[in-house]
Amino acid sequence: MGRGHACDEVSGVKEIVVPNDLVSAKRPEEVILAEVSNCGYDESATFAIKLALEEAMTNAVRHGNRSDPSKRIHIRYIVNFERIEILVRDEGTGFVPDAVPDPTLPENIDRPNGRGIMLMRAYLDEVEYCEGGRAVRLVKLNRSEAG
Amino acid sequence: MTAGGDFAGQRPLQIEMRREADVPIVALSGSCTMEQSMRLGEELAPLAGDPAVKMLIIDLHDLDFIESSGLGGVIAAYLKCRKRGADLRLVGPAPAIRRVLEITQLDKILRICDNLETAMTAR
Repeated sequence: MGRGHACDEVSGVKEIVVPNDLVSAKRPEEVILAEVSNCGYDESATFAIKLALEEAMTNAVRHGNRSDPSKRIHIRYIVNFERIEILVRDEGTGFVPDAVPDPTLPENIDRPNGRGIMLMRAYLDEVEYCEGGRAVRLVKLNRSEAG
Repeated sequence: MTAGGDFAGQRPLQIEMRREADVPIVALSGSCTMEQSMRLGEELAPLAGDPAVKMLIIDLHDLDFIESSGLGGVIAAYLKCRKRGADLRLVGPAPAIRRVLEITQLDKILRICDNLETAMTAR
C-alpha cells in the first residue's frame, strides 16, 4: 500500500470488511477517525478524511457493488503520524474514472450527482484508482507534523 | 462543539422547519452523512415543489459536515424551485461547508447569504 506501489498487498496494514450497506459502511469511518484523532491530525485533515471516506464508501455501496446486499466492501488502512493511507475495494465490475463527467462544466453544474471523486481529489494528497476501478487508494499527509 | 469541529464524535443530522413571513426555513444541524443524505432530499423535495412556496431558505449555520449526496438533495431542491420560478437560498455556512460549496462550484449556482435577514430581503 506504500507510495509508488498503489494497491500492493503489504502485511501489517489493518483490514475491515463490511456488508454492502450505508449503515455498515460507517464502521470503518468511525474506527479510522478514532485513530486519526489519536495521531493528532488537525481539524481540516480530519474533515478531509471523513469526507473522502464517505465519498469512497458511498461509491462502493451504490456504484461499485450496485447496492447488492450479498457483496462486501474491503478496507485496508494505515494511520500514523506522517500519513493516512486507505484502500477501499468493492466487489463490482469496476469503472473508468476518466469517463466520469466533470461536474463543474456548465452542462453538468446543476446535476444532483457526480461530485464525489472531485471532492476526494480536492481534499486529499493522493487519490488513485486501481484494479480496473474496483479499488481506490486515498492518501492524506500530516501537514502539521511536516511543518 | 463548533460547526466544522469534532467529526469523530459527530452530531446526527437534525432537520427543523419553521416559517418566517410565510417563507419556509429549513435549519440543518449536525452532520449530513451518507446514510442520512437521502432523508435531507426527502424533506426538501415537497417544499421545493410546493407552488405556494416562492422562496425556500436552508439555514446551514449549525451544519458541521455534508457530503456529495447531501449536496445532491440540495441541488435537486434548487432545480425544483428554479423550474417553477421560485428561489432557493442558503444561509450562513461555516467555513468548512462553504469550502465544499466553492470546490464543487455550487456557489456559482446557489445563492449563499451570510445571514437570515439578508436571505429574506435580498433581491
